[in-house]
Formats: sequence, C-alpha cells, structure tokens
Amino acid sequence: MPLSTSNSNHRIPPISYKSQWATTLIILLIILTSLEFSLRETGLKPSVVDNKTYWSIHRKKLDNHPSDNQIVSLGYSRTQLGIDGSEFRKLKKYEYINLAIDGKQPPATLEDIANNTNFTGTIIYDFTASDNTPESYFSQQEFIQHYNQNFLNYGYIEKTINGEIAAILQSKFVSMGLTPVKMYNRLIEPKPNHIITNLDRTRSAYFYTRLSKDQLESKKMKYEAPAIAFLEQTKSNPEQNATNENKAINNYNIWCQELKKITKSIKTIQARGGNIVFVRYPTSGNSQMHREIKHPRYLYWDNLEKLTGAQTVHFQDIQGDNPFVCPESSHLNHDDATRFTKLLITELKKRKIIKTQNDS
Amino acid sequence: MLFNSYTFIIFFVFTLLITRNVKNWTINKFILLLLSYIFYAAWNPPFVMILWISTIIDWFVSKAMHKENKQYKRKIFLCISLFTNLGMLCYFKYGMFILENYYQLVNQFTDIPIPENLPSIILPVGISFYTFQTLSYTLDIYFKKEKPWHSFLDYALYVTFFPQLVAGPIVRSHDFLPQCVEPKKASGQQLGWGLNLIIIGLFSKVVIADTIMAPIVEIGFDPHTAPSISLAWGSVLAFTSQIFCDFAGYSTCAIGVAMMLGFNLPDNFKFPYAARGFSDFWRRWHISLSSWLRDYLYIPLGGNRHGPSRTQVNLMLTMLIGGLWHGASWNFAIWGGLHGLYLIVERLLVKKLKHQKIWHTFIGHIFCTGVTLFFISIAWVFFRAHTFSEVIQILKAMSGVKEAIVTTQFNNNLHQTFNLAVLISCLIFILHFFMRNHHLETLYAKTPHILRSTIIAIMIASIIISMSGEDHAFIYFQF
Repeated sequence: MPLSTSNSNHRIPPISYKSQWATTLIILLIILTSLEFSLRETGLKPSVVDNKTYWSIHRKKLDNHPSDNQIVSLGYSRTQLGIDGSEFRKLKKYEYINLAIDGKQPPATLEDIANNTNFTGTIIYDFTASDNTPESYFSQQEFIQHYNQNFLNYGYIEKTINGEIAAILQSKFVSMGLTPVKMYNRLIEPKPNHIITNLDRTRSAYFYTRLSKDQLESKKMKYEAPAIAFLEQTKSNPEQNATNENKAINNYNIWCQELKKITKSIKTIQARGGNIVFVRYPTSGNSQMHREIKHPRYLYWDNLEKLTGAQTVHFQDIQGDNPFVCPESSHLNHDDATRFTKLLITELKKRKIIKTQNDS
Repeated sequence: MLFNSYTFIIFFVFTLLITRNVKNWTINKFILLLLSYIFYAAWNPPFVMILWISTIIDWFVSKAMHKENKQYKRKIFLCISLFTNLGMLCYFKYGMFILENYYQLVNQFTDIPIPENLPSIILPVGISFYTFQTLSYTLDIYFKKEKPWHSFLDYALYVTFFPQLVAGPIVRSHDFLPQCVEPKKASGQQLGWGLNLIIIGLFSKVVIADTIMAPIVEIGFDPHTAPSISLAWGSVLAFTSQIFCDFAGYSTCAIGVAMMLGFNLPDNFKFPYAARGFSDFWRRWHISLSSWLRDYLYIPLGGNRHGPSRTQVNLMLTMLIGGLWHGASWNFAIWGGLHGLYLIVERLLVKKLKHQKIWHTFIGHIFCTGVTLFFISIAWVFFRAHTFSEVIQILKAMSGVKEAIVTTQFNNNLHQTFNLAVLISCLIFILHFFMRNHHLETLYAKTPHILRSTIIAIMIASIIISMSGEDHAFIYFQF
C-alpha cells in the first residue's frame, strides 16, 4: 500500500543484504577485537562507568526491600576507594549498598534516606570534620533530584535492566563505555588507569603499580600543597600555633550548629530502628596534620558521638601498630582498603552493629 | 523504552521473533498492540490509561460524527474529541506553565506572593505526538476526508504502534490503517535495509548527538559560565547539529524498526540544513508536524486565500502554536514567532527578488542556504536556552559584546571534542547541501560493497563503545 508521502520503503537500495551483513559482521568483529586488545596493551583495565543513573539503580534498593540487614555507605571518594565491597559481601546475611559520590559530601543523601525511605539498616557515614560546612550540605542534591524526578518517574525498571547490563559489559570489556574521543586519546597516548570502578560502585586504586613515581608525586602535591603552605606558615611563626588553636575553638560553635541539620536526620533513622556510624577514613602525611590542626580531634571528632547520638569509628583507633599510609595522602591503595574494611567490619561486629551468627 | 538501550534490543528481538512466527494476522496485530502498550508502560505504567482514553473516545466520537448529518451535532462531537485530547495535553503539558504565569500576573498587581512549592506534574512521554495523531483521524472524519475505520484493533494499533508512538513521525490514518488489512511480514530487503536505518539512526543519536555535540552544548549554554565568542558560536553550531542528529536519528530508527515489522512510515526529514529559505526548511524539517499544522491549522484558518495581511496573520499564528506545541515556555513561543517572522519576511522578499538570475547560480544557492542556516541557528538559541536571560547571554557572547573567559575547565578531552563537534557540524551542513535533491538510499546503493560494510561496522562499533548505560533520552521525548 503506497503512502501519500515519500518514504524509505519505496527506495530500498537493491543490493544483496545477506552478503552486506555478513561482511559487516566480520569487519565488526575485527574492529572490536583489535580495539579491545590494543586498549589492553596500553595498560587499560575494565572499569564501570559511574553516573547518576547507576547511582539511582543502587539508591532504589533502599526503596525496594528495606530491611535491618542493609549496610549503606555514604560519603565521597575516600569511601569509594576506602571500602572493599567484597569484604562486606562475605557477610552473607547482609546486603551492601554503596551510595558514595566522588567529590560530593553526603548530608543531603542522609536527609533523603531519613525522610523518603523506611530504611532500618546501618549507615556507614564518611565524616571529616572540615567538610561539615553549609556549602557542602546540598552537594549530592543533583543526584537525589535525578532519582526522584527522572529515574522514578520515567521507567526505572527498564533503566535498571539497561544500566546493569551496561555495567556488567563495562566490567568485562575495556572498550565499553569509552567515548570515541577518549578511546582515540588512550590509543595515541597510552596511560594505564590506576582507579577501577567496580560493579558495586566501590573503587580500587593501584597507586604504586599503575602510576609512575612522577605521576604519584604530582597527585600527592595536589592534595598536600595547601597543607604544606599552611604548615610552613605555622613553623615560621611560633605564635601561629596559639592562633590556630583559638581559631579552632572559635569555629567550634558554628560547626556544632551545622551538625544539628545532620542530627535531625540521624534521629529520624534511629527512631525507626536504624543505625548510623560515623567513620573517619584514613588520611596521612601533611594533609592529616593540616586537618588535625584546623579541627583538632579532641575538640571535634571526640565530641561527635555526644552531639549526634551516633557511634563513631576513627581509623586511628582500629589501625593498631600498622598505621595506614595513603600514597597521595588522601586515599587508600586497594590492599590497604581491604585491610581497613576488614578492621572496620571487626569493629562493627565487636559493637554488635553487625551481628554474627552467635549474636542472632 | 529508549531505542538506544540494551532493553530495547531485547524487546525488539523478542517482538520480531513472535510476530514473524505467528501466522494469524489478527493475533499478530493484537500482539503488536500489546507489545506497544508494554513499550509505553516501560516509562510509567499509569500513563497507558491516557492512551486508552484518547483511543476509545476518538473511536466512538468519530463513528457517531460520521453517522450524524446535522452540522451542529458534528461540531459537538468534534468538541468532545478536542476537549478530551487538548484538555489532557493542556493539563499535563501546560498546567504548570499556566499556573506559574497566573501567579506571576496576580503578583504584579496584588500583594499575594508566588507560592514556593507549586505542585509538579509528570509529563507523559510523547503526549503531543499521539494526541496530534489521534486528532488527525477525528478531524479527517469531521472534514469528510475519511470514513471511520471498520476495525477497532487496527485503530488502536494506529494510535499506539510503538516505533513512532513517542516521537513520531506523526502518521495519518489514511497512510497507516490500510496497511493493517493485508498480513505483513517484512521481506529480506526490508529486514536488511531496516536494520541499516536503525544503525544509522542510532549512530546519529548515540555517537554524534550524545557523545560529541551534547557536552559542548551543555558548556556553551551553561548559565553559570560566560562563554567566549568562539565557544558561543561553537555551541550553537553543535546544538544545530545535535537537535538534527537526535531527532532525525529517532525518526530514522522508527522508520527502520517499522520496516523490519513490515510497516511503512513516511519520511520526517529531507536534509533540512540544505534549505534555501524558510518555507523550504519547513518542507524538510519534521515534515509530519509541519504538514499537520498546514492541513489542520493553517488551511482551516484561511491559509493564503484571504489576501496578504490575513496570510501573514495565519502564518504567524500557525508558527506560534507550532512553537508552543514543543513545550510550555515563552522561549518556545518566541522560537515559533521567529520562524513565523522569517516566513513572512521571506514571502515579501521572494515577490521582489525571485526573478533575479543570481539566485539560480551555485553562488546564489550557497548564499541562500547559508543565510537560511544562519537564521535557523539563531532561532535554535531560543529553543535550547531554558530562560530568556540565557538567550541574551549567549546572543551577546555570539556578537562579541561580552568577550569573557570561559570559567569551565576545558581539559584535553573536551578541547578535542569541541574541535570535533565543529568539524562534524560543518561536514553535516556540507553533506546536506550536496544531498539536497537526493536520498540516502541512492548514496548507499552507489557506495561500493566493502566500503558500505566497513562504514556500517564502524558505526556499530562506535555505538557499542559509546553506550554508557546513562539515560540519554531523545530531546523530542519531552514534547
């Protein structure tokens, strides 16, 4: 039946499609295989592409089947690189969900979980005193908005299936999820990826084996430069120590005010039987010294439990005689992340936050 | 369900397997209808009810209208259809817009403050497309151009057919319904070419629109940055390409998917950036909408039959409504108004200049195409920007009035993407210019076998590596 307007059906190119598609498939296989091998040759390893949709897929798990056995990580890059998800998965009874977002502080997500879910599990909240600021409160808000307005209203089941398939493929093949421009750059300027995103959204960093000494040093400088400048200033001026301490004391009240917003969410979750544990993830070197001077532990961290009613675990209290060293001063290498996760789980078991078979 | 998703691949393979193996044509159509509802429900299941309401009401209203001889009763039936379809469209699409503007207006004259938390309305995907499609059926019967179709199943499939349900092409009943009479099973040629169309459409969308153009457009139109003159022009060029690759990509996929199911959908684009003038542009861009507006709005308003002044008013009204059809925002109205103005000015100029020989030379063609493209690109600024202040910001930057440093960090990848976006945009415009009077099919048939296969293989490989799992909806889904 001809259409009243022009259409492709009347113009189908008269060629042999069987032979065209057979040739296309052979060429496609050659292209994909050679791309995969060439990219692996450059030192690239498969890594999942993390984005708002993939975060939303994980966030949805809290709405799907809230239970006491969910353990949720909230935080930023230190959480993503500091937790080895496989250690949590060994706790058969528990479901581990990672909602940390690189470069964004978690208070808004905590508030979202408190107000918009029936969550009764355990939240491991990455807390660094210096990041408790009004500016940081809503930094994860765009992800929450995407979840509520876009993901939930427009086909979350389909997006979940699609996102999970894409993530599985990306975790197996180097070439999946790269844009053509990125791929081109990778091929002309080979550079191994030292951070790999896993299917559970945790990340594994291989600073020592996949970065050159110079690259590692430059990353370290990025984190340490402000700290070094600050420490130099303090060293050159003996009176500065007293000034720093006074500043820390003066800022404490404002800091406590800011903490009240988070405390409200904590109370809501605790009231329905959930747990929140503040965790201070390892940092080291000049960055750690800088943080300690600006927000001394005795004044800030040690009062956190009293102020919020949530338990706290500081890395310094569980590391024992073998202190954690962050290669670029702010994030853990993968093997240390595994050790830290094991120590954290042991601590949580000791406090009966994670229940062993004997407890139940 | 998005064409550019793994879920759709699974869904479509399943659909092909079932429909090709079921012998009974009625059962086959029923399965297609059911799968179309599943396709739509994948976004938000309750919205399938809107489709049902629209389908059922228009079916019965059209039948009753056809039986009725008295004109005023036919008008009542038409009003029922218009009220139902446009009422739903107004509520979902323009409800918030009307409410916001109402409060702003009240606030201008009284002390009543604008409420902070106005209720939000979730927009059903593709409502403008299927509303216009089903309306065309009722209007054709009202104007006595068509008779009511005999099979409700065919009619429901016409309204719901999944390849074109959410973003067109807007198909007319006289084009689609007769295809439901005879059993349909795609031939080898249709399967082969249909699959090529899907790959070409997906390549346009996933690789060019989403991966290359979108990042540059987002930076250029970011209200928090002040773009430099080159970034402003680059991002407007990139958007001009993005909107074409996104929308034409969808239409191409839809035509390919329908073809593989044995159905025939009309062309929706004909190398629009090769247009020499704005009326030419609208014969090449979103053809199914522009012809809808022409047949059901411009001509009933009087078209060009009542003198030049009335023609200009009709043109402007049609384009303003066409602009607002795209979305509830004053920017869309201005975009439509600009196109209305372009068409009016063009009519005046053509009268005076059309006999000059220069317009029929190669240079003249380049000049006309360039000028048309320039003004169309300017109009796209209104289409893309979210607010009027964003429009002003980018137009100022384009005119060089505000030469500012880009505050966004242009890393190496982004810098290369910018150059690539500008280069590909230029290639698209050149391709359109030379393909103006040709079809993609002709070019394809002329291309040597090995080159053709290699190009399609590269396209598939680029699509596979670019699919990140992120939700990149087609731009026109929001309309």
